[in-house]
Amino acid sequence: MTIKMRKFGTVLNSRSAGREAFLAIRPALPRDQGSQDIILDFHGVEVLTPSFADEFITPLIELQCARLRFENTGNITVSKTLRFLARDWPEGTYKG
Amino acid sequence: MRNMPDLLIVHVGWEWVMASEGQLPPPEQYCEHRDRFHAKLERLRRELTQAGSDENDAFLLHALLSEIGGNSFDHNIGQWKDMPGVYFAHEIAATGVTVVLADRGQGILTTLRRVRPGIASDEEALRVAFLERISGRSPERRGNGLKFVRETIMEDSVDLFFQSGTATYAIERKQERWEKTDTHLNGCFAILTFPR
Repeated sequence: MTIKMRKFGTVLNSRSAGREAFLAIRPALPRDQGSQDIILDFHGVEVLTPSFADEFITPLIELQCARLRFENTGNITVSKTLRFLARDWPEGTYKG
Repeated sequence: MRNMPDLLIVHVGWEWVMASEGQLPPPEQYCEHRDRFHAKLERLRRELTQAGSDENDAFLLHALLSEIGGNSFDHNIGQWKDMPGVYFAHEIAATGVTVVLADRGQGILTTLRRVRPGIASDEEALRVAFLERISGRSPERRGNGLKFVRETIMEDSVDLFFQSGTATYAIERKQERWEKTDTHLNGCFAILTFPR
């Protein structure tokens, strides 16, 4: 399953937006634990902040419904934000 | 106002945040609601890239300001002292861009005491906000915005001045300085200086 983050906007920068995005995607998440990977594709995202990512990605990790993979993380705010938050995530979740 | 850039936007923002009673700042520098704040952030980023700034720098500044200004809205909603929202002004010069963000909210100490009542002073609160992962919106456990700001600024060549209460924190050429001042400031006041 691929989640194209661009669909939530090119600027992903507030807690409330992150929370809403997570609630929107949650019904589509796999029900069987670990049955498939979830790819977070950041193509087209211009700004990502810890506030948004902490409300969207951290709950995805906590659900443990799938293994997360990250694609197109070259944008400077995407890479810095993921690297910053990854310290609180299980080891190996993000290898940026 | 020691150690602050001598710019009109700095003086106007300082006077607004220090005034005993809330007054409307110049409309083009006032974001009463979050939507306007985000719109102004987008506009600033466009201005920067049109003025020839590196795109990555513009993205990064956008993220840093989002975190600082977002805190103002996240932690003060329904609890502003008198005027909601933030003062948000910028000046683009040949050498860099200076941005001023200020709010007449509760301030860092009051916000953090909700989740950590033992915090004794503005100075301690500011250190916790920039150095520890803590959220002022209990029971929400996250709150990494200012820590991210600090780490990013220490990696990149951005200068920061931040005051809340009587505590100030500054990063200048990657050198940090924590101080206590005689001037008490309700809410928060921040200046970012980004080289071009």
